[in-house]
Amino acid sequence: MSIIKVKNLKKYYKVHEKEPGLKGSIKSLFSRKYKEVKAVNNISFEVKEGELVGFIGPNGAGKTTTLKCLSGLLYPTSGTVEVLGFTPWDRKAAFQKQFSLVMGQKNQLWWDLPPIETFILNKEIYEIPDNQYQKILKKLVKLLDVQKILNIQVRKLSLGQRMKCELIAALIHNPKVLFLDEPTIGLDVVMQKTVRDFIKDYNKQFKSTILLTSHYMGDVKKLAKRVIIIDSGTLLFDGNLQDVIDRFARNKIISLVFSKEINQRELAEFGDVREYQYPKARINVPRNQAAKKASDLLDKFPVADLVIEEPPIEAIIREVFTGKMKSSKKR
Amino acid sequence: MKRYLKLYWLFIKYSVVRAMMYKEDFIIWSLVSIGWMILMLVFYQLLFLNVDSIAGWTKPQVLLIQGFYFMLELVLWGALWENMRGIPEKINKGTMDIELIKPINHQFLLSFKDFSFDNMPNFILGLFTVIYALNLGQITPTPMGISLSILAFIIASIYIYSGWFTTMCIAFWFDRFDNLHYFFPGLRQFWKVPHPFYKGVLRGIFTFVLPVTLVTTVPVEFLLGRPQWTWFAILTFFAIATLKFSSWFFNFAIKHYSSASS
Repeated sequence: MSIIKVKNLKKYYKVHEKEPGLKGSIKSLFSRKYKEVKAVNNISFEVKEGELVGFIGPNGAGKTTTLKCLSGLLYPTSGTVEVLGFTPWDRKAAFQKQFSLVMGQKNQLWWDLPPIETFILNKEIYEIPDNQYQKILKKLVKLLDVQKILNIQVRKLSLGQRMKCELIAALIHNPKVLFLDEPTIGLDVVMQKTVRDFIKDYNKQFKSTILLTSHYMGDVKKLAKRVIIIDSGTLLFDGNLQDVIDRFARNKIISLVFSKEINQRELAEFGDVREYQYPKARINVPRNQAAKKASDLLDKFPVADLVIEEPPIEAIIREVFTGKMKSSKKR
Repeated sequence: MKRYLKLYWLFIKYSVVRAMMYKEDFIIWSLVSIGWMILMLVFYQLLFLNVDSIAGWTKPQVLLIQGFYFMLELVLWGALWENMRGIPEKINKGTMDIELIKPINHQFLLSFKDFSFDNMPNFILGLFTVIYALNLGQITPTPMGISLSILAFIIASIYIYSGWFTTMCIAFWFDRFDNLHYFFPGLRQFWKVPHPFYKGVLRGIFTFVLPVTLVTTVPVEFLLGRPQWTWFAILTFFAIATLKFSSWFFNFAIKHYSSASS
């Protein structure tokens, strides 16, 4: 059963374009030029209960705007959205008690107080019964290992510690739907792993539906089987991560180890040489010719080892975003 | 209702905790507030060295107005200022997002989350001024007079809050609107003096259009045993109407909220 239904969602903004400098500022006092930004442009998708979906796109793609429409923070220009049977922008308390939005760079913890005070406040706001609160808090504190910092002022905590406490504050009411907007932004690699592991465990333990936006492919690869790719407000792809490779990857990579020195120029006849440092080399070859190219390389050169690989998912996504390849959308 | 009272109590509690963490800040601002009030009292002392009454109001009666003015400072600067100031800031920075996803009346959350105790001395000094003025004028209010005065004070506070919050909702249309939060408090200069001080068109405006001068005059008239029922009815009507309008206007205004990038 789909818990999130988005149909023909559009969100357009009118933004003021100002010419640079003082002259531009004075001119804008009397006559303003506006342009329409199509932040979200006719996207549709559905998410089933318990799914963990990666929502990826470059800066300005429309990911956060979409999440904000789903959270009820923004009224769309047109289209319909249904989350847990509610229209989000009606902002009904019954809906708001069942979802949570975590934005990596916006904090809900009270800056001058220990995190535990925000948790207590949220307990009252979300009307969580005492025993449920204690149970959830204990579980989350253990999962994130933050017992020692609960009573330390938030302003004295590190970014990683704050992020962990932000997650607890956002999850203390055990939401059925979780929107995570760049949850690992700015965190070091160790903390990124901690947060990812936590999200995966949380999804498993609590069967919550999670929609996660991120620039870091590591987040998506680790967490999401399904990805939705959005760019310039338009949905480019919605399907399994593996299908992204099948749909968009034009090339394969052949990694070689030579037993003798070779002429690099001769190697270039077989494909795009990405790297050559004797005895190793890597070349890009068209996907449908990979097997034949590999056979030809083995015939022509003294090859000690040969591996055919898919390109890294990051490279494929980058090419999708830079418009080097376009494809139609859905699964 | 019980839930909201409990939440407000939590907000006050956290504000106390924060104030105690920054006690130097609390002490300095308390001293500044007290300093300003003393200057104002000195001003009225000087004024009444030269006259016995203004528009039929004697020195003790005008001092009563000052006492209520000081007590209202706690409402303005203690209960409301940080919250009102925060509204355009939250809109500009996009941190309004955090508030609007909470399952609670958002007007309540935006209006009462922060409480500043710096102005508690204002209230205490205001109360002392009222007691001093009653002694000076040899005025003994009746229990009914005191009760009605307190009721009028509460209604006046509701009117001030509603008017101020309604003004702040304008910020939802603009990405940035610095100083909007100064507009409504600026009107308090008018309620420093009794309502009868105003004549002609101004009197009409401050009675039927923007009855801000009634917020101090009506409670004082009850204490003086001169209940002004018409003014009380006007103030009550405006308090209720403005409160209802503020709620409607807020729900209309947030449709124009466009958030901000992270």
